[in-house]
Amino acid sequence: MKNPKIIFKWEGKGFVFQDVANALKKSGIKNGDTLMVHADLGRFGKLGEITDKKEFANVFIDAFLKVIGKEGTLIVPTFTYSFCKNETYDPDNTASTVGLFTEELRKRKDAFRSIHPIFSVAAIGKRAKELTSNLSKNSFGKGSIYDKLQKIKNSKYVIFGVDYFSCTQIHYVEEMLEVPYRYVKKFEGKIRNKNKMYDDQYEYYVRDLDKETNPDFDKIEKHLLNKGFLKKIPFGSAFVSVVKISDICREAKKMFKKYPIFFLKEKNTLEFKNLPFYIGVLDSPDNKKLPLTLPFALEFNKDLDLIVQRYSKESEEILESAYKKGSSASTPLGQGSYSISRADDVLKYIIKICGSNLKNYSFLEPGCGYGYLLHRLKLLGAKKVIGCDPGTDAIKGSKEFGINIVNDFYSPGLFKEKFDVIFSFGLLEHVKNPLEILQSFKENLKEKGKIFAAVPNCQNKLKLGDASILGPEHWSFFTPETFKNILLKSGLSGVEVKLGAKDAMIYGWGEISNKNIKKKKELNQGSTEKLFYSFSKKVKNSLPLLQKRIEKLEKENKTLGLYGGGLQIIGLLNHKLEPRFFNGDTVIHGKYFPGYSNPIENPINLIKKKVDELWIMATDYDKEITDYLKKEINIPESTKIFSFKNYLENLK
Amino acid sequence: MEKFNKIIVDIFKLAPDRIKDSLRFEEIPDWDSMNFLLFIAEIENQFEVSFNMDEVIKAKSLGDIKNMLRSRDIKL
Repeated sequence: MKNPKIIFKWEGKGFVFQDVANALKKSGIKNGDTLMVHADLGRFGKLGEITDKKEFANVFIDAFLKVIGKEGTLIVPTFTYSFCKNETYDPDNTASTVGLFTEELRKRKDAFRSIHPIFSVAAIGKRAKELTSNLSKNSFGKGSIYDKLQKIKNSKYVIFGVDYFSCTQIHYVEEMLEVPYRYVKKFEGKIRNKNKMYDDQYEYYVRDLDKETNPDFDKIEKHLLNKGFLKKIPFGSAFVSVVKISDICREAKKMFKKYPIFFLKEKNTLEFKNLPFYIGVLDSPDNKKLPLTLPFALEFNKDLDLIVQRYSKESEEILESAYKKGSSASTPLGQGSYSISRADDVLKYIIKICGSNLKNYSFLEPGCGYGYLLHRLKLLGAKKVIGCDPGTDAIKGSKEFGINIVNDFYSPGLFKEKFDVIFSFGLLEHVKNPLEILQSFKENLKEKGKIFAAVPNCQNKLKLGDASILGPEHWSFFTPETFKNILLKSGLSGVEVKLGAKDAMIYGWGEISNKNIKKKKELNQGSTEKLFYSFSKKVKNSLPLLQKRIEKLEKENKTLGLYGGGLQIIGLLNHKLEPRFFNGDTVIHGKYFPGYSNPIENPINLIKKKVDELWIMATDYDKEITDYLKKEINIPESTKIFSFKNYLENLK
Repeated sequence: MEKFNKIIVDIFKLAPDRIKDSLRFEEIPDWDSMNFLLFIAEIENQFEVSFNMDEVIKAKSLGDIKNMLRSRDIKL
């Protein structure tokens, strides 16, 4: 006689025994199945007609038993963690700590319970005795209940009402694969079995709490669902999920091999204890008493919809001191092989916005460095040009070009007058809050004044997983989309964003407007957070393999050259070898990267004094550099070229 | 306030001095699915309100339940 009472109510309907049995059948449970069930009976709906715990739980247990029939077996976890709490474990009496369903099943006369003072299970059905006996003393590994279950053809995992994918079977996979974030810990204690009391020792495959080890089974649940291995059906206000244990084990192994932290929560920061601190090449290996490395953390800022460096007072103070000493992140505009063409590129856009006749325009450039762009604008007939910069270059440029450059960091109070255009080149990525500084520009602008700003385009490198963009000198890492959003958020109207030559820079501009700031719904947001996570994942995956590559070179006593940067990447690897650096930009030849004794060389030197392996680190110019080396320089065939770009693209 | 605490003491056999808003359900020794359903039913009866299951499921602490009552203009 099955219990006819209403077990729970949901949306005006009363659910009875038969509704539970029907839901179980619908979820794919069949006669003869062996089930491991994790249940939360309080999630399906509100109180029905049953108020007695035993009666309540047993309606559900009976429904399971009816569906699996006499050939089936129903197993539940009855974990007690007794040895972890210095308590005696008694299989007949120690209560399960994992819910009413499991505790009431354990108490049934037809139930068997395993002797495990941490992770015991209880079972009813054809194989109940066999599956709860002779289990190993480890927790999830060989000989455990989970090992036995994965060998049974019709064994299934059932998540019954639990609102997350509570799947201990994954720990079996972790233990078999010996994952780096768990280890075996032994626990000792007393077991009382019937009239016998004895000391024993059991193993628990625990998380390494010194590492980032918070479990996250959402990803494996989604994977199993997407691949069609997991069936999830709604029942009352909760769900019933069923998956074959063999499918869990196979897919979990596959996903772990592909991505070793698949079962762990993604960290929302990408952190490095020692990221090379580099804001400019040096005349000598001496770093002007600045640190060679700084701790660095990258994160996604939801308010700004931007990938940013997490604020650190230490970095801020060091950067301020470095800027005052005259360091600049890149070759100043107007100097070197590439920077004149870069300046031409910027001027092309400023003229596009203002028109070719600049005589009615006054310009202010915060962070103007040497003042080369202001100088060029003056030559083009601009009415007035003024800049500000905290570095020593400001004084030099001011004298050389005869323009007014205030030797200080920008603040709106620095200038009493108002300008027609405020522009910046490579500034906004160096300030803590680009939105705030854009908004402060308005105080120095005339009515309908224009703002033009250029920032490095990080999109391609973020997509690729190229960690060379990371550096303590950058607080923000823009893509065309996020840069446009910042300009819109600052309240500018007529905002446009274009990519500069070789997509290296993003140029954006707009006009100050009295209209309200654009509402969020008008902004195109959402993809930046995904980009942050995919970038973090790729960087984490790429570094260990590069580490192996450099260790192999060291073992074989081979020489390494890095072409087009690479300081950030090499700095993140443990290495003893001294790499040589090469660059096509003549202005930096003979200069030094901080912390390295080899100067930056002309690539022509690769012929006279070859290297065994040459890493092409500039992912933006990979093909051009390779062609140049092979066709124009004719570097020796014995020099093995390693393309960092190809490596990242092919990384699984 | 007294009514709310009395329900907790009756159902969970919890000492009154242990009742605080930040107390999470899993920290209550007598917490289980049946007691949870009884607790929600008793709160609904005595305060004459009706919760929807979505908000019930999201609640994790005694403070969350109080907030659900406050959102129905019940003064605690």
